[in-house]
Amino acid sequence: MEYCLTTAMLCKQYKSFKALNGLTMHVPKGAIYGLVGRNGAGKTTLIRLIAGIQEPTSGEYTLYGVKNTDREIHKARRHMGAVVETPSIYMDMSAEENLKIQYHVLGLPNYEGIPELLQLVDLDGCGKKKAKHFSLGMRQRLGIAVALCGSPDFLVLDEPVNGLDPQGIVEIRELILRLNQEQQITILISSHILDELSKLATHYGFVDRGAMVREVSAAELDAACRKCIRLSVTDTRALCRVLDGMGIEYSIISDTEADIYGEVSITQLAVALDKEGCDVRSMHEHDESLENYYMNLMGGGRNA
Amino acid sequence: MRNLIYVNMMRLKKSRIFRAGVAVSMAYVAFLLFMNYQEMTDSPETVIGQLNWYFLSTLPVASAFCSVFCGMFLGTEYSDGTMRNKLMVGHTRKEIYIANLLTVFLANAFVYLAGCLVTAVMGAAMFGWNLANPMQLAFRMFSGILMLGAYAGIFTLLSMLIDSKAISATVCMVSYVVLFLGAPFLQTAVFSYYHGASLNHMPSESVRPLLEFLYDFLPVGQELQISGIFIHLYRLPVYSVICIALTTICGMAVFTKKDLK
Repeated sequence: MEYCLTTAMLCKQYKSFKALNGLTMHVPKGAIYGLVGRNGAGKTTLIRLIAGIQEPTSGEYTLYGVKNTDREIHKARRHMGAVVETPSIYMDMSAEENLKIQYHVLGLPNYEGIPELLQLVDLDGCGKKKAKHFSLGMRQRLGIAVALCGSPDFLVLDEPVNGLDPQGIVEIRELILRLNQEQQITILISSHILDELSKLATHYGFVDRGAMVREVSAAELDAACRKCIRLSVTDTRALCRVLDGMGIEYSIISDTEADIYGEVSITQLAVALDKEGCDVRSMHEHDESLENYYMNLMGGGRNA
Repeated sequence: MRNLIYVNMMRLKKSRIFRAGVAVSMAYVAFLLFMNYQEMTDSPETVIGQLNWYFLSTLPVASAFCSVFCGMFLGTEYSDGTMRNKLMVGHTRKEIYIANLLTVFLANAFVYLAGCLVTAVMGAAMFGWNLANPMQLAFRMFSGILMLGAYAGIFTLLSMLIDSKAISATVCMVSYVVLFLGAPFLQTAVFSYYHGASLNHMPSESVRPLLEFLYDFLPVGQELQISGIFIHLYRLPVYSVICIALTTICGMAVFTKKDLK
């Protein structure tokens, strides 16, 4: 698999506080990579490092195969756009002026592409309105447009829906999906709004205390979070015989518990188990969401 | 770096503080010229008819402007987070620092030269093209512009190392006011060695080299010498260049290691 970003044992220490503690991650090309973690887990620190705003204390990362210690890393960063924490825009300028400024920062020869960018982020009707008079969602979209100047292949978004109203959240989500699907831009998105992330991400990285706890693809996560019925019985061997006979997929959890996948007739199952001399003690639907998965992974007790 | 300077120039054109600085500089000289022109009718013997003094009169305006402008203009890069956009697309911190220093210097020089332009146009019309010792005036103006460079170096250093716009703007202004208010005391102390004690307690001879060095080295001391009585006029440009070099080297060394947010 080709990766546009990898990190290896990345560490960042602020005085005595270790914000990143040996974080290793892999962002595949073309993915929407959701970086999940509670506040202070190290998500923003990681983004600051890969954006070149700060230097790692130890460890390394590669951007399109170029190591952070390599002189060429500055060129590799030209493939990347980022919105770190708040949108980086001049508040006393209009959307178009902000994009013109960024075009010059990049050394682009002309302003071709600015109308399309403004249209893409739905800011083409703003005229000379200054960014300080924009809503939070508009500023966020302008920040993304600035990050998209120079047509990057890799977009890093730090908490892009934080503080947005439902309408703003939907707009940002649609924009991210469009960028990924229509322009094949790889997107790294950090968030602790898990429900929102689950609508976007193709890959997940779960971060806690500055380290990667697990990296999974959305398909793997779906399998782990599959809907099932958790059954508690007196005899799981009898249960296995009955389920095998009925051709139902299942997994045994313990001597008395099993998860049953797919549609099943409860009456038929209960009758068949009764014939085998097996009592059903309890039965409930088990639907593990991304939130449950996250809580189980992090050991629960702490909020994302 | 050319791109960064161009971007800063774009911002400069829109900067209200810069426009205000230019306007104040022009208005200040125009006011001085006009007042002297009016006085000419009442008591011609007291009028400053030579243009030399007017050409140097906006140096303090440009210096004060630098302290206000630098913290605000460069602080915006931090407060709006736009410095990140430059770093993220591959510009080095050294490029960013130098581009900002040059922008502040050019803005200062422009504010000063705007005043000079008014002097040249209005002054010549009012008093005629009356210059005493043009070569020395040219040298004083050259020293003045380098002194503005020294101010730019100091205030750029402060603004680039303090990542809060409000704090950097305050620190720049307060440090200028402190230096500005302290300069006359330094001048009196230094002049006491030349013109006899005008202080209650004349400073000891042992501190004389230090006081003279400070008076020559600090831009506020230079400001007084360039527009008034000088002691070591020909040392001043050298000291300004040293000041610019020192502040830039120190500033870049710290800025390249600084953790930005």
